[in-house]
Amino acid sequence: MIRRLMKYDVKKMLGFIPYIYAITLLLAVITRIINIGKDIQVFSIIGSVFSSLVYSAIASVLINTFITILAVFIKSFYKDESYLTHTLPVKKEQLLISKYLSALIVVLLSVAVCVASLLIMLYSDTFFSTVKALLAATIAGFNISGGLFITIIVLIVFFQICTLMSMAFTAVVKANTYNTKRVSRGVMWFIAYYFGAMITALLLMAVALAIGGNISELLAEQMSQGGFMTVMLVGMGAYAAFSVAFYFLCNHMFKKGVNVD
Amino acid sequence: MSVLDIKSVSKSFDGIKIIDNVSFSVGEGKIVGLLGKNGSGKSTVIKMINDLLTIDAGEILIKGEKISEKTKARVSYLPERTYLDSAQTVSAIFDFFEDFYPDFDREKARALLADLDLDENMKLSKMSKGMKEKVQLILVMSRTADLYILDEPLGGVDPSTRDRIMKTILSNFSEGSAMLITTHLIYDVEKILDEVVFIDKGRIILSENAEELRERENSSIDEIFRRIVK
Repeated sequence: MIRRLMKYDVKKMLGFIPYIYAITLLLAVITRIINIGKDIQVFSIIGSVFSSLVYSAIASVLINTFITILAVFIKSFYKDESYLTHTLPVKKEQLLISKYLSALIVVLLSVAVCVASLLIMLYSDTFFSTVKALLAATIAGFNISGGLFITIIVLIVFFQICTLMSMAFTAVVKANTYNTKRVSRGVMWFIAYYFGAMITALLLMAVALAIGGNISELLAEQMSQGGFMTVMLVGMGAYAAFSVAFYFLCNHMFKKGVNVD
Repeated sequence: MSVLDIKSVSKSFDGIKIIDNVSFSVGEGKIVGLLGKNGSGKSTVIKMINDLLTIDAGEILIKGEKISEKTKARVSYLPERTYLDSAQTVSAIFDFFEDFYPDFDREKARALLADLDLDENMKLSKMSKGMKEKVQLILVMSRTADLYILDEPLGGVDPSTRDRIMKTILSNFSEGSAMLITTHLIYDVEKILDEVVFIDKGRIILSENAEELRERENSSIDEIFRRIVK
């Protein structure tokens, strides 16, 4: 049943975003072609303009992804479409899981398109060497490989996205337990959840550093290898835990029932 | 056994009681009219039956069971508003219903579509309000449900379309199923009703067999309603 729901949810959450994907990728390709002649001043200027367009398109992909996912969530559960959603012969948790998984798929797709666009536009041997040198400088003294560092960063970003999404859904469900001022309440609850999670993560890092005898590093300009790894791993664990915790909170509230418009 | 049992159900919004201790039932094979003025609480009761609003007190049972995904499979609901995605075609919506409702009969839906002069390949965004309501009615009546709930099926349509809708409802109503219709256009539906339930200001003020009521009062249900509910 969840797969059946996801078939429709993914389609709705993608909406018109595939057109923005296409435009972004096309602009990246055009920029790369123009940059072949970047030694000529005119092409250099045009290339800069198109580069800016690519960055704008990437921002548009990310913003529209977030807005569309949230709009589909709200419309499906609390607006006119909810008259169909909530009367389907499907368990409430299945409705919710479908939204979560569909949102994750669409976010990952959007991030993949953004990364692909950047690589199309920027990738060259020089670029690759610059990135490698930058990475080496960043992790110098930490005694970890570049691959492990990138993996940890990717996982942290992934769990942060999951947490933000989970927080947003939970804030919407919480706001709709009230009869009035749902939008402002939703925003307030999201802010409350966000700051609550950030403070909790900081406290967890502080505790972890204290246990390791590195508490002073929390405010230091440069961290030791041990302190750095502690902060990274605790951060990753915290975000992973938050995304799961917010899902369960959201599910608990959602299962109590809805009051549609 | 009753198909639908509503027992002492109440609902408040911001401290104001909207539905107050409402109780009635719908038996197998019966068509029950939940009749009331605009704002009397009809749609609120219907929404609670369909799990669109939470209940503050009481219980609602579908064939003796509490509302769940299992009971939702046995209920076919026509809401008072358009809930379908305008970007979709009628055919895509049929696909959706086939995916989620095993009892959805696509051939029957196609026949009803032709009967009501609608095109399966047309997008909902290109349809008038009346056409969209007909599509929603077709979706509901193309299912073989134990309970059909029609919330204001005649609202917002012209008199000739109302007749066609009534004919569609009666000729596609599964034998042995029950139906609950809410409306404020009592004159148009009263001839098909087995029982009537009057609701006013969130309270049930009358619940009786329609024919017995007409004979006793020597009036139409519409006239009786106008007398009782001022």
